[in-house]
Amino acid sequence: MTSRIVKTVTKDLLPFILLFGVYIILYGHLSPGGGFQGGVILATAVLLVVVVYGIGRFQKFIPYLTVAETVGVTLFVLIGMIGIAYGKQFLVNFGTIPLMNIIIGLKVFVGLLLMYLFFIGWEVKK
Amino acid sequence: MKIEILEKIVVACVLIFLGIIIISFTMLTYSTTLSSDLSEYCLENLPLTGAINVVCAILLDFRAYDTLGEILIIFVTVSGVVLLARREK
Repeated sequence: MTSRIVKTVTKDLLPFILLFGVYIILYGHLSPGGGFQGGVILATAVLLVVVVYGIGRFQKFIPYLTVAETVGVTLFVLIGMIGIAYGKQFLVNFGTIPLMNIIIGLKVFVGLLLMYLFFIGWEVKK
Repeated sequence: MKIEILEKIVVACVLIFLGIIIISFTMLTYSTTLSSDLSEYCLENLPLTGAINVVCAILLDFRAYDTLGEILIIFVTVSGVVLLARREK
């Protein structure tokens, strides 16, 4: 279905898109960006590969995506509860902004990728 | 025939009423002056958060509950999509 041009451009551009997404996540507290934006960039990069090359190689990783989503939510709440352990309020900040950015980036990446894959027709095998 | 005309009149009245409400709320919100204490507070306490980016500091420090809500929204959305789009075999 896809032409050779699309395949070649995807193969050449993929490292730069992934690098840009990771940069947006890791430098979210220093430059414009953040977890949400970087996560969306990473999800679109993987979605590009899935659309162009098919889902074949990613099939075995997909059941772990739901696990990563749940782990992301749990880690965010646990990091918020560290403040309670130190005698302050919930979700207090003591230098945890980059860590929260990384967790949000992972979670948004996984969640949006799952939704995209479902919307383009991938189905869960029970 | 008369019922259709009546329906159109009722719909027109409802739409005009909604338009008046929306316009009045818009004029109300634009006529009030917002106090800028909150933005000044965020800018003054920015060095305490350890972040240079103001948006990130607001999202993850001053309004962390907002971010928690957004994360839960995405989580619930993914759960709903996975549940509803699953096909029985």
